[in-house]
Amino acid sequence: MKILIIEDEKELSESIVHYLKGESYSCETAYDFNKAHEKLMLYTYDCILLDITLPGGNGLKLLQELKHRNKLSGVIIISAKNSLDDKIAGLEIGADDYLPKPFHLAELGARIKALIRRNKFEGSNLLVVDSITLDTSGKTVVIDHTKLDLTKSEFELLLFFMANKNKVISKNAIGEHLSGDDADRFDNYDFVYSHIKNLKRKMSEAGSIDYIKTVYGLGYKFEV
Amino acid sequence: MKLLNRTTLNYLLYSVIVLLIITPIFYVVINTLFIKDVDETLLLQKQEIQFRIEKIISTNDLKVWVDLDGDVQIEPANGRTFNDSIFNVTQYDSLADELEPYRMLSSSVSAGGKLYHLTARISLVESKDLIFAIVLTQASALVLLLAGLVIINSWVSKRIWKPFYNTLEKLRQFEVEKTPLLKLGSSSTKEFNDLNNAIEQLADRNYKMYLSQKEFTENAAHEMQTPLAIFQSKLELLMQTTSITEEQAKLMVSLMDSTNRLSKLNKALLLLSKIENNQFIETEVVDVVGLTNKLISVFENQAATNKTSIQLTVLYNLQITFNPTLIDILLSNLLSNALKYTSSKGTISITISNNKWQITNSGDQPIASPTKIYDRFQKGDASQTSTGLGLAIVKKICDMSGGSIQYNHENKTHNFSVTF
Repeated sequence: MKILIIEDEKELSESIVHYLKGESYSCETAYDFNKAHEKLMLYTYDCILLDITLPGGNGLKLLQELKHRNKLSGVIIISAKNSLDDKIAGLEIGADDYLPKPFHLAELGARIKALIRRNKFEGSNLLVVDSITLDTSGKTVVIDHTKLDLTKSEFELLLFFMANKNKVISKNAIGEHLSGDDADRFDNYDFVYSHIKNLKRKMSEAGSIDYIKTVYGLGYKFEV
Repeated sequence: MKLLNRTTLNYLLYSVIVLLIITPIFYVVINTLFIKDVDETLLLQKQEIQFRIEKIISTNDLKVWVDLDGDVQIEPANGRTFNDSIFNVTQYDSLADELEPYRMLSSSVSAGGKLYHLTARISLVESKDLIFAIVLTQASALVLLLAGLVIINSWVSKRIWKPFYNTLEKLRQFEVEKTPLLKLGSSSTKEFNDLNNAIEQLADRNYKMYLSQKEFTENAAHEMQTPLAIFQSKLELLMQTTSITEEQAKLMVSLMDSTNRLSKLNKALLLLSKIENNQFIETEVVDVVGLTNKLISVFENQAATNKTSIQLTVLYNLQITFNPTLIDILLSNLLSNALKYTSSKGTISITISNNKWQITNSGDQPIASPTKIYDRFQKGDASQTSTGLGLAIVKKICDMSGGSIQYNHENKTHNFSVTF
């Protein structure tokens, strides 16, 4: 899987590369419009992370050109301008997703996974990690032939963990992910505790080993 | 006191003083002139008598003359000489049957080698009347003049000051967010023109400062997003490092909470400046009951975690024309605020009536400074997670869309109501 990160803030770009390391991705970076343009012309990527404000030009122009040339890359716009207009413009031109800064790396990881899954494995939406099989279209989870009866939130929570396996995910990242567009309404994400408690209980009832570990109040880790 | 009355009063005061001083002076001057005239007449009369008396030599003739002219007395001087002297006397007037003031000349005249004592008098009654009439006329003229002055002054002033009052009225209605350009028009009076120009320039500078302040908030919030994103990403990478001790974890948690708060603060500031920038102007008909139900379900998890129950009473199926984003934020912030300040196992109740959306939550303590609750960065407690902007946004939305919000605390409940 090849990912191109078009982001002028080197530090942020490096963070993303660092986080995605260990997955089966090969990451490349471009820090300005021209470099990004050059790379996009020469190579094909499975996923492109695109910042809109770039030195040398507007990221949306790159997107336009990309779609014009019919390249089949998935594009996630990462923008500091959390404006509805930018979001609408980006999605209209053909971006697959829009993630406003600042974002949690876990959220980005989950979005990249989901995008690649949609683009690469058409029809088959099965995510298999160890003994867990999760069907993203049928919204079902099976552990060792035992079907789990999960609520929508618990299902999303498990999917989020599986997309970020072996990473420590903060309570805030989980809370914001589960809240979606409503995330900004909440002052705290204390409700995450009960979801995790319930998910762990249901998994252990199905005879699963305890994948979800608590890390000193920092967050949780799905260990495989 | 009005400026107009103040100047007029000063004029009036001055005029009255002048009038009071001038009237007696006037009287004295007129009187003196009159007396002088009378005295001259008396002296002339004496000369005339001297001239005529030469022709009368018999004592009888003299007596007839004196009898005919009641105001002249000629008597033998009996050897004495009288120098000319004029003085005031009060004598009995047989015609009027009372004492009257007279001006009297006492002198000597000679006829046929004999000296006579002459007294001639002129009644001052008419002169008094005359002086009185003159003074009265003058005084009335002055009063008339004064009244005219006051009336004309007030009429002219009103006309002259009209542009000033126009300017004042426009200034009163001036709101930098709504009507950025202040047009005061020109006046034919130079001073008012200068004033209007100065005010227009001031309003213009005010507007520019307002704009740059607004832009600053927006730009600052935007610019902060990137370093914030970097900070957050590095922190999350730090979390992934192996062998974290509990001590390090604690430090990271507090860093993470602060970042989260900063990020929320940033978003709230951006939202506030967007509302101020009128970026939410499209309106549509909003089903308030439906929206409220949606929001209650959004906050279900939060309420359950806090063991708070939310009750909805619908008295009227309220539909309003509003910007859909703003009404959502407005009601959401109020609900979130109520949840935040409801003690555990408390109750929140929402009532929707024909023009009101009311939310009450249990809370024993009234807010310490209710007048400040809508100020930015005012928090009910030193909560770590609150941005202190929720109610400021609520107030801003109400102000910008012509609604109003009231708060009160009674029967141990906090009560916010929005009137549309």
